Amino acid sequence: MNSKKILCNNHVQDIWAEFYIKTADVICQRFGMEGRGVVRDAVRMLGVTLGEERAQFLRDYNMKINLKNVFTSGGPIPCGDRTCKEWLECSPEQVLVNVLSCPFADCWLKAEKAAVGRMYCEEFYPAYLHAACGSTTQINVGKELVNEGDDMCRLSVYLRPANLTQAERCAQFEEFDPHYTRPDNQPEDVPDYNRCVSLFKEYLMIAAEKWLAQKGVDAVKELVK
Amino acid sequence: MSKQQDMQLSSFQDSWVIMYAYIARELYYKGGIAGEAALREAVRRYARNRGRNNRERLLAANIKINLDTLFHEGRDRPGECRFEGPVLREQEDERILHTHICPYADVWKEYDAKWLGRIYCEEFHIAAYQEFSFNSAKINLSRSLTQDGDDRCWFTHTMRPENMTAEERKLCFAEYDPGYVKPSTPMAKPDPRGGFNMMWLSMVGFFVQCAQEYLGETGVSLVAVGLRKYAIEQAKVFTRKAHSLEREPDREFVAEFLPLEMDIDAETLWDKYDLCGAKEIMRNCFYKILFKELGI
Repeated sequence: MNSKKILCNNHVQDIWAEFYIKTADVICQRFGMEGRGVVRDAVRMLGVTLGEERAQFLRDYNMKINLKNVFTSGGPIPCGDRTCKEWLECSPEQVLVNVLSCPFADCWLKAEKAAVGRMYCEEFYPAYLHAACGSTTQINVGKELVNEGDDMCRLSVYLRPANLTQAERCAQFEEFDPHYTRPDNQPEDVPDYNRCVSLFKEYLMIAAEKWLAQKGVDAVKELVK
Repeated sequence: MSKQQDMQLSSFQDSWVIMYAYIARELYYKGGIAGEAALREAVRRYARNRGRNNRERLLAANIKINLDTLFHEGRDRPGECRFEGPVLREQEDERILHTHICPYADVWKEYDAKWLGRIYCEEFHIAAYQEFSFNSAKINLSRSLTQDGDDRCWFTHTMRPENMTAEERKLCFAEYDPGYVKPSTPMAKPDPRGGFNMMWLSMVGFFVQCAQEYLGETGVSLVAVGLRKYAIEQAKVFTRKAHSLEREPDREFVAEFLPLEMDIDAETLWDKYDLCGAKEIMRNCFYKILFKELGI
């Protein structure tokens, strides 16, 4: 695949990765299973919001909402010159990619918090891609840099037209929309990691209230102030 | 297990795998996108049915529902000797395993049905294991022997307590059920014939049901055509196998190497899986043709 790297603010990306690992780790340590529930819920909420926004971004530019377009030219996945991806396939219905280096994983491994980092990868990608491409998308995160023994992340993602309704096929695949004209250039969707920080704060509060009531809200408030 | 028992088990499994390939081929290549949709949905229904039955069987035996019990107590049919691959992590909430040799994939490749097998792999594991786990497990099959370019399967499954309700956690993990006492005797090992018989009838039942729903009578005809072609092929497979064992593919041989009742009317599982006329389709398009081809 011929994919150019989009603009990426490494510094802000690092701030987001550090913010996640610090807050998530404290909550997990302090509240155990409930704390992990808070973190996972918050990560899923973040994934859903960013996935819906990614789909809307593509829709606004008259792009089909399929795997190729979701994975190409931006979006809130790790990016920049410290990210090394090996694209085995990137088509509208199938993405096979090995992520050989990832600034998120680098940050989380350096902090010796791989397990907390792994919670993010487990929850974020399914939530993000289901929200962006629909619930029939199959997301397989088979290896993770933050999983002991793995030397890369492997994402195998499938979006099969046969699993969609006629209307969905038309909205997501060019070949099912005979009147469609693709824009000349795919617009770049530069990730906003500052927004990830603020959204994650908000979602931690919501999840903390659900799992831990006021003591959770107070703990999160104290943590993110 | 003796070599002869291994051989019988392999035959049970291969018959199912070849049957799948023949019916899937008709639906996929002759039914257009609706045929593929029917095929995928049939696999998902078949998978969810097995996942649900496994879960209910374990709960009835007071066994917890998790990724450890799924692969040790939750089996509805025995493991098959040709599968090979390491289990890299084995926990209640996480299981990582690779498969280096998969007889399903091998048979599908032999029948030029690798892509049809791929469809099965994509749909089956997610649907079956999620159903088993109260929809809490994350099922990741990121490489697959049925995927072009892959030389093994990579399975990474997680089932995190914090992604469940309190009631589900209690049913799944002993640490969240303080009064829990594990049964002192292990569950009975699954019966090979019964397991593959159930797989057979339920798969055919869901094929017919989904073909009817997605393609109407045309779809049901495609399943029937697939079964007829398969019956002819299975007769050849049995003949080759019988001769290799210095036997004849007679009624006794078929009864030994096919996991189905020889008398279709004696099969009680049809009460559950005779969906949209599946039993009569099996009688006319499989049994009659198989027996005729073998002269029995």
